[in-house]
Amino acid sequence: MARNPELEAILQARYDLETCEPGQKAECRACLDALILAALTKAGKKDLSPRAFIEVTAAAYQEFKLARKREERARLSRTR
Amino acid sequence: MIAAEMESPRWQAVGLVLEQNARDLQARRYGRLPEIVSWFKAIDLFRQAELERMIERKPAPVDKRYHKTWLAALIAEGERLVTEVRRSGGLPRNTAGIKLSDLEATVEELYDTHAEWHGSLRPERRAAIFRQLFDGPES
Repeated sequence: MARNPELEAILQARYDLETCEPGQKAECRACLDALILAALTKAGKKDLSPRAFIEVTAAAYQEFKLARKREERARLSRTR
Repeated sequence: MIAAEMESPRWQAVGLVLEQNARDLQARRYGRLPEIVSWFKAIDLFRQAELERMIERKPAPVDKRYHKTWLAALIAEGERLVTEVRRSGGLPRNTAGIKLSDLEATVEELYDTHAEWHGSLRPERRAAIFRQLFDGPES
């Protein structure tokens, strides 16, 4: 799981984008783009593209996503 | 056929759905909105395969190959849909609430996935930039 709160928010926004309903994609995309831009600005890395940012945070995102899916499965198995 | 040669039923399912979507498209069977819904369903299947074959386990070379292949197919299909919807002046109001901007956002999401799994940065470079951004080692 990511430990930096800013990173955590970005990973959550990316997860939300991937898992939201099709009719909410544009809204979730805007949220993700805004968070990435803010992180790049804060780090003084505005020369880094948002897509490169995605690439750089790939391992953290995969770890985050795995943890989320496991939580969802555990929640589902508890309700059965 | 590519699908018949695959080891994982997950990847096979994605391939079969993409092939069926292509056949339906060629036959002009269902119309624009159902084509878009089918594309979203294929992405859902792809995400399930990605989770099972690429995230929950260490992906084998064949997994990476099929991930890249089906992802490219989904991006190409999404770009085609965006072009056609733009050309026709947008999507009619629909119960799923899908708009052109949602299609565009989803294509961008797929390009992100390509960068995530098949990007060109070397692992050391990724780690170095990550540290610069977040002042800590990538977990």
